[in-house]
Amino acid sequence: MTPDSRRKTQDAGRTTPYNADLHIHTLLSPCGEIEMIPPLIVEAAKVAGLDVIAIADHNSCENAAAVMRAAEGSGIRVLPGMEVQSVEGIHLLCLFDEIEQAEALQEAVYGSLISLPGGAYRYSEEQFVVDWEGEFVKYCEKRIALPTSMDIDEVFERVAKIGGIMIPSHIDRQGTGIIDILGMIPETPDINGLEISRNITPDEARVRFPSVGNRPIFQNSDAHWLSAIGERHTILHMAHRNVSEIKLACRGVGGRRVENA
Amino acid sequence: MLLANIAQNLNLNPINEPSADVEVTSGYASDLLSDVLAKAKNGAIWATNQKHINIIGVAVMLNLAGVIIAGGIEPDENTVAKAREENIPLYITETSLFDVAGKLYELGLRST
Repeated sequence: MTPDSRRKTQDAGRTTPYNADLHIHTLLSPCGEIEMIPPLIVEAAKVAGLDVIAIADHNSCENAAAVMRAAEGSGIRVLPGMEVQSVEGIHLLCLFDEIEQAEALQEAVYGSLISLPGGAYRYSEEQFVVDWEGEFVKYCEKRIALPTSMDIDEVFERVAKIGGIMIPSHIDRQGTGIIDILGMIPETPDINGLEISRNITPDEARVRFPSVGNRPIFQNSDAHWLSAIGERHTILHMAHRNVSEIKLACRGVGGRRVENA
Repeated sequence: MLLANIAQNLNLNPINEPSADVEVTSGYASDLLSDVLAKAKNGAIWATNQKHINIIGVAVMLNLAGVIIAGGIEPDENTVAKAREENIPLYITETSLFDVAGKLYELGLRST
């Protein structure tokens, strides 16, 4: 073993606590405030002391690359992703390392967004695609506020195949959380982790929802405006800031873990 | 009322029917499984557009008389397997959830 490769091996076994907020919307989401532009999101994340953030607009990742670029040199790692709405109506946080992976999921999502009679979708002009400086590029014409026709198992399989991680969003929320819709966390697929909303603590969630079991719980801001960024976060003890490390942290491998802040 | 009468009246397509000689005492229609868990009565027939395996888990927990998947939605394979394993009567129909609920109401069933 060369000195260099030995050092790499040792590094991989050493974990660092990273402050993570893995659920942030931009102004692409119809419900996202207009101030949620890439440079301001990065600035707010810096002020909040975050080390890793994820961009997760509804059913789209069209602003994720811009935030990744805006974060270059900031020291903040940006994971591209999206919050997919399954046919059951469940919100599912889907996160990746590379924009190409997120775009591969986006292609499937765009192909399966449910249709409406012509003209009935009225959010298009609230769906802003911007560049890394926040300048207007175009409106997103897809019906991203609607559910897809993919069920939760299909979303899970697609995300896994592309190399991402699927975390059911705000599982305690009515109408869009997995527990309200499916009654309990299903035994399959093998879900790595779960996200709770700001309205509940991890301990409360485990008591209120026994089907959570010992799965790791993520707390994210689900920010739709700047001041919310980092209001909730999770401490991820990992060797690197990437999706496979998050998966390892969920499983508690090699000292990695998901810690609630 | 017997499950057999309901299946015949609504022209339901049986996916799993261990026995239709089951007394149905009420009806329920909802797609939120948590709502069903909280409000449906034992012995109810439940109509839904959900096809996920958890619908069988709910039926077992509440000892429901049966489950109808409405609107021409096909159940997942593992849902069907679970229904067989748990002996839960499971039907599908092209009829919309609204119309299924209306027909059950017409037959005299109530949610309470």
